[in-house]
Amino acid sequence: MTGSGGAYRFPIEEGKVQEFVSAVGARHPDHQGRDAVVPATFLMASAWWRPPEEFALRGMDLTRVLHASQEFTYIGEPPRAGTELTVDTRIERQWTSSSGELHFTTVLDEFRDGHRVVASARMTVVIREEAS
Amino acid sequence: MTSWAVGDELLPRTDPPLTVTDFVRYQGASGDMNPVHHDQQAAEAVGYDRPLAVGMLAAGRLATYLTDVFGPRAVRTVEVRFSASAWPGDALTYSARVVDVVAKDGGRELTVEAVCTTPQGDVHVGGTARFHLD
Repeated sequence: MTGSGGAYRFPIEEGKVQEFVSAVGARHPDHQGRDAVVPATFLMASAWWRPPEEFALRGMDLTRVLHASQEFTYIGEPPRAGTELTVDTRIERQWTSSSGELHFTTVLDEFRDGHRVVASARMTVVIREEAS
Repeated sequence: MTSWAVGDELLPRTDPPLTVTDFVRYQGASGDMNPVHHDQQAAEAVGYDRPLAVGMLAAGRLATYLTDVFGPRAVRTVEVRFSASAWPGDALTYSARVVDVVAKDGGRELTVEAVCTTPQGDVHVGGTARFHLD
């Protein structure tokens, strides 16, 4: 279940940015044009570029996984359309609630522009143990 | 340039009622194709009456509710926590308040607490965001 530690490409395409802008109803003019600034939660779209073997949650029944929390951090301004980032993904932490019923997993994605980390995304999901 | 101060509130916004089409559009954009958000049978198989809202859709709208005001280039962190589920037909309301303003890197760093609530008044998504303003 742990990511292999490989990195993958995440080209930020203008059309994809516009699709996301439309989906989240963003209205600011900085989201328009060839060098559109991405919406603050756009890094989720890196899922389209993630090789299956890099999916940290593979093997889990996703219909039973609940998203508990999500964080995005930008070092400076968020990236723009036309940029190509590289993503490193790994499981940062896994733990079980004291009751033993809730299983948590935190996945950390780091986004690099060349060698420089420009952003990160941290996702925590939870699976509830089924009552038997 | 607006001079923001601790305690300032943004004008709340209520969106039109959620539709499954909203979920599909967001799922296509993000690449999260979890069927419980658009497939009735998949939703029922895990105990829901109908497809439930995508949390990251409201989180994305909550973030852009803020960046429409402070500017997309100014955002530095967004942290969201998911609480009550939302459903097709729910008109979600977004509101936010400035909770901290400090001098940083030659400008100001604003911390904003924001919340997305269901028509019943339950928190669907709650979050904190930081912005760097010149």
